[in-house]
Amino acid sequence: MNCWRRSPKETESEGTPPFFARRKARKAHIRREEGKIPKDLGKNRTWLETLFRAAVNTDLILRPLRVGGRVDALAVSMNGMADDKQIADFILRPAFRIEIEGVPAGRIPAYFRAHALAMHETELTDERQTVASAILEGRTAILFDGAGEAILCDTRGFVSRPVEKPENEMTILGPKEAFTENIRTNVTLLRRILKRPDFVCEFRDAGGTNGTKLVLAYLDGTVNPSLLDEVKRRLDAISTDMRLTVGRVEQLIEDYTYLPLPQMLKTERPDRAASAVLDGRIALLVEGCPIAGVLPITVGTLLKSGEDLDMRQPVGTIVQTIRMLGAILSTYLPAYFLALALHHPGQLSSEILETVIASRAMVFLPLWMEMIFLLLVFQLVREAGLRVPGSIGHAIGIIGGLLLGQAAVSANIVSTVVLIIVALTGLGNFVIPDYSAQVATAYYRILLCIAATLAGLLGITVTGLCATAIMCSVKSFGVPFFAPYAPVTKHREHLFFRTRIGNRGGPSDRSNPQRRRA
Amino acid sequence: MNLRMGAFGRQEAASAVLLAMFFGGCFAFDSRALFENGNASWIVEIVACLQALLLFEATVWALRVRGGNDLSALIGDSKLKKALAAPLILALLLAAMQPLEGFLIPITQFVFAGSKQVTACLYLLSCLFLLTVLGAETIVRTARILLPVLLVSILAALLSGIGEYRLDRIFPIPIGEPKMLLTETGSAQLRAAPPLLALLCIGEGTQDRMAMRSAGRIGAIAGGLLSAAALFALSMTFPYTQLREMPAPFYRMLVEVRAENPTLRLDRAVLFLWLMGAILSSGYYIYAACVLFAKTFGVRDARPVALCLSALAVSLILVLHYDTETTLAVLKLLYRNASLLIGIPFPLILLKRRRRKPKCAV
Repeated sequence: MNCWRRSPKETESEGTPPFFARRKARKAHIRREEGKIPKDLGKNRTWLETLFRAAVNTDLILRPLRVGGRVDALAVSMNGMADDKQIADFILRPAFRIEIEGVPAGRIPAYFRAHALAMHETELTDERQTVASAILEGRTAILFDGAGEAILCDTRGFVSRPVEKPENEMTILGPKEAFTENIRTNVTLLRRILKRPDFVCEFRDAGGTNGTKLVLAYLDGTVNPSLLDEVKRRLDAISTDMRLTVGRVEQLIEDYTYLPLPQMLKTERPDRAASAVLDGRIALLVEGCPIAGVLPITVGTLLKSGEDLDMRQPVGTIVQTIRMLGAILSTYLPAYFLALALHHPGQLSSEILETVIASRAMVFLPLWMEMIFLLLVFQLVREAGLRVPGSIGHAIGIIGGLLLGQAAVSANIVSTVVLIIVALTGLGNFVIPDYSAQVATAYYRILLCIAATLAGLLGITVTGLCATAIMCSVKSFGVPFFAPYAPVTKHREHLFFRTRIGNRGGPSDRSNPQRRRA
Repeated sequence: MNLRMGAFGRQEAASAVLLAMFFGGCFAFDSRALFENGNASWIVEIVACLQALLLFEATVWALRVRGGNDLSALIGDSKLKKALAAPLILALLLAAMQPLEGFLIPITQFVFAGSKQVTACLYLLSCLFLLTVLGAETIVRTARILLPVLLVSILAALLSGIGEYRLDRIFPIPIGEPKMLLTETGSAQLRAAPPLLALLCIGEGTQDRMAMRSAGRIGAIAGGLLSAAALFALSMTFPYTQLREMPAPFYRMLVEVRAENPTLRLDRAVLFLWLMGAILSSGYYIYAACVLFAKTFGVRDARPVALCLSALAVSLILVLHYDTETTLAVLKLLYRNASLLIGIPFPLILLKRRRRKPKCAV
């Protein structure tokens, strides 16, 4: 029943005056009608030419044809996005051969789809917006004269990068496949690992006018439904003209904008994303982005590597312990050294103190400035190494690390002791598996150094406690960042020790899934 | 109401109680009387913990009988009971001052010799502000995260000094002075009862009454035993005549250990690690006081109250250090009579109001 036909009493009960309700309903109806495909092919052609600026935009291919020698039609596709061979073989050739005698004009699209199209993925639509979106995605739209419907055929055939090795998340024992920019390929990579009927890949519009697609991948019945609803609600609220990537989507849907730590794990490895999905989490794939986002995360997720479970338990424990110690060392060592050297020299043994004094004899910078300067130089070398291509990047790392360090010591800008501390810090920083966490730690380290310069160990204590408290208050999509340590959950995850792999009958309760193991 | 309470579990609440019990128990504001005629500190600590636990059990029982999850449920709308909440808030505030004050002495006298108390207090205040504004969930979770590190450091400090301990130093034990023990146990209520009182104030955040009771029991027993063990270790390290005059005895104990192990110079690192626990304990008390205040007097947002109480606690510590005669005397009086501060309002709050019988219509 249409809205304007409702009784005045019914409308009044909703609080809207009947006159305005009718006017509103009529306008909505007109808008709906404007969004429908007209039956006149000429009008459709004009609409498409105007919409895609065909006069200047030569990418749009409008191929007129006569179906079965009787009905005029138009095959519309985007050059480069659609596969020409598929269009010629599976759309144009059968279109010329089909017999459509006696079929009413309004039924031709459905008849053509059923009897001529030898294609797997086709769709009938009467919405203009759907047609436009499909053409932009690389599909081919067939419009018929006298029919208010179009057939959308999947002819996507654009060039994309093949599946390659991951560049940033290297493993020795784990699989060696990485996500690509093609969202379909990425879904396939996940599906090849998760061969389960309850594995759902929900395609959605990312929001905004760009028409970017994103995929929410999760295990239905395992993932927490309230988490899923909340993520969907937040994704629905995205409305931006910006090109979307996983990192940008994260910032658009996260809770704590000013927190340096990430609230979503970003991985280029399908096996890591699949493991997270099996653990009751949600993987987020964005079209054009070779990275998957995993949510919710905890601090353990950021400090674990993909191949931790591939190693034997004792070896895994040693590797995990070294990693944790490296992370702690890289965070606190420079600040602790500064605090001892500047405010509590009595805590250093006379031998160490003599070494420090001797190495700094000719250095003109104050110790704190020297430390912060070197930490910033380290970040500079690292960023430079990342931004330049492959082999040159490695060379920059070596040049920056060896030559610059040696030259700085010779020029009495920095002392050898500080150089050793910064080098150890840098090494420790690289054991943190997640890149975002590495960067966040680097800046937290500089903050600690400033605090140590100002108030020695008191400064480190206060800054450390504040940082811990802030991290304890943070939740990644409702899951506390320090789970399963605070709050304590049933299935513990040790940061230092790797637990034995047993037969697990479901995901752990860390991310609060709907179905969990006993 | 924006109380920033959140939700937390038994282990987290027990961790907060344990830390508060330890850091409150080890840093007595006016400890001279404890070492007057022998070392009574560890005995008093154990007895005070047991008393506090009894009080806690009675309150939980009252909550079970009358329904409710926290102390404000027992206070209700009664004006008299609302007035009785004021001494409890004051007790929590004084308890918050105790560990901070205990650490301010070694910081300003030994670590940063000659530095001003104001400067150190400003650092502590910034941390207290953040903790109390972030709320109970954050405080107890931080306590849970830091607890293993703090426990290891405490046990390591106690065990590494074994070579220095001498059992004869614990004598004389003033068992034969019941009057002194009674007075000191009363004073010690300001160290032993506030962790449980604070838990009762933030009980709404726990899963249920049983979780709160369990957390209180575990935290109080473990914390009480740990602080008694630390005080016992202290009494084996220094004779009571030295302890009577000694400022910051725990720091001195760490330094003694260091003197024996010149390669392991971690005394200041350990001191500042413990400072984290002390700040956390103070934050826990102040937040509990602010919740009690907000719930009793109907304040809708706990944050301004938290900021005010934090500033007040730190200001009082500063006043104490600048040695204003009158304030010092008042504070000492309050500490001496801590048993009254907690002992009188509590039973009155627990009392059930008699309902008047409706008059029969004639």
